[in-house]
Amino acid sequence: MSYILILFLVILAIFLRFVIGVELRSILTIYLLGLIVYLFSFTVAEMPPFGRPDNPAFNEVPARYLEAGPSETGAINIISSVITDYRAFDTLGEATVLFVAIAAAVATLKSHRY
Amino acid sequence: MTDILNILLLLFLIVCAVGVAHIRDLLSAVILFSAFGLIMAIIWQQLGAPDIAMVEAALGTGVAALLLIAAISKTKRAE
Amino acid sequence: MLEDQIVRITSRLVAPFIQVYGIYVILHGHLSPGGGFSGGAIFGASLVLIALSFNLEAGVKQISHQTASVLESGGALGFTVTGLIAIALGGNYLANRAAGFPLGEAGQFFSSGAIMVITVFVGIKVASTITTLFYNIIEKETPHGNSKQAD
Repeated sequence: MSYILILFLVILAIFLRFVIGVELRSILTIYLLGLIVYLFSFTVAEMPPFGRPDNPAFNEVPARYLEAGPSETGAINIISSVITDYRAFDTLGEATVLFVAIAAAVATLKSHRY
Repeated sequence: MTDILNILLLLFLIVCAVGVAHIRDLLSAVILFSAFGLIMAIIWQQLGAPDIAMVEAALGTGVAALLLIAAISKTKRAE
Repeated sequence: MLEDQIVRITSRLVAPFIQVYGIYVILHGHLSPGGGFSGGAIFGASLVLIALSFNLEAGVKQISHQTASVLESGGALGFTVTGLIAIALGGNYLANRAAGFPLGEAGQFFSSGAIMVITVFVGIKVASTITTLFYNIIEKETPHGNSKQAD
């Protein structure tokens, strides 16, 4: 099956190049893009469906957060309790990234002042 | 019904992305980019992440477009 | 910047509502979707909108350069100090219940201890970061190479 497909693609390329006169570079580009599209759609087809309870992402960690989050942190917004209590150090890193970014921008834009 | 809405939104997203890359006028490109961010915010909402949708609507649609407009106002408008 | 009457009047009408919404999102970060980053981005967008639709002076009248810089550093500092207070109270760094912050009743406005404090600090930081970035980009330069002092 795949040999027939490759043979067909090669014959199509020869036909496009020598009979119609398309450049070889365009043909190769289109073939490469087609290969990428094929690989991506293969990947998407292998992914688990959205929102299914038995997905691999829904293991014991989110179950623990959902059960014990409101009583342990006092916040009924589970996302907020995760990002500012359980994973608050991550949020501190995010704030640091923001701080360094704005410091770099100000240093670049204002470097001519002094 | 929701699937049709999602497919339409994704199609609009692709059209906006291709338009941003192709258009010559930079201000139009910024406005198309802002439309891209707005559609992206609706898609985040459809995926069940309303807080990310709020961040995207404020940052991706508002502030990024305003910063780009400020940059255009200090340089040339045409590419 | 934009010499347009429609844009000016619309942004002047809309900006207070955007600011109130941003403060609401920050303060209700532990109760409803949103939080420090979302609310700070919304609040900063309103300030940027005023500075863009009028001119830089009108935006600086709302929040000056100095204030924005101090608020930005103060937000990051407050976040860090909140974590250090948790150490002083006997927990780990950035601990909440283990350090003995008052949790309150889940679902009430004054609840969740350190989460609310951290959310407010992050919101202040994000809003002032956006404002500082926009002011620094939009400032005009004088021929001497010095930026115009806006305040």
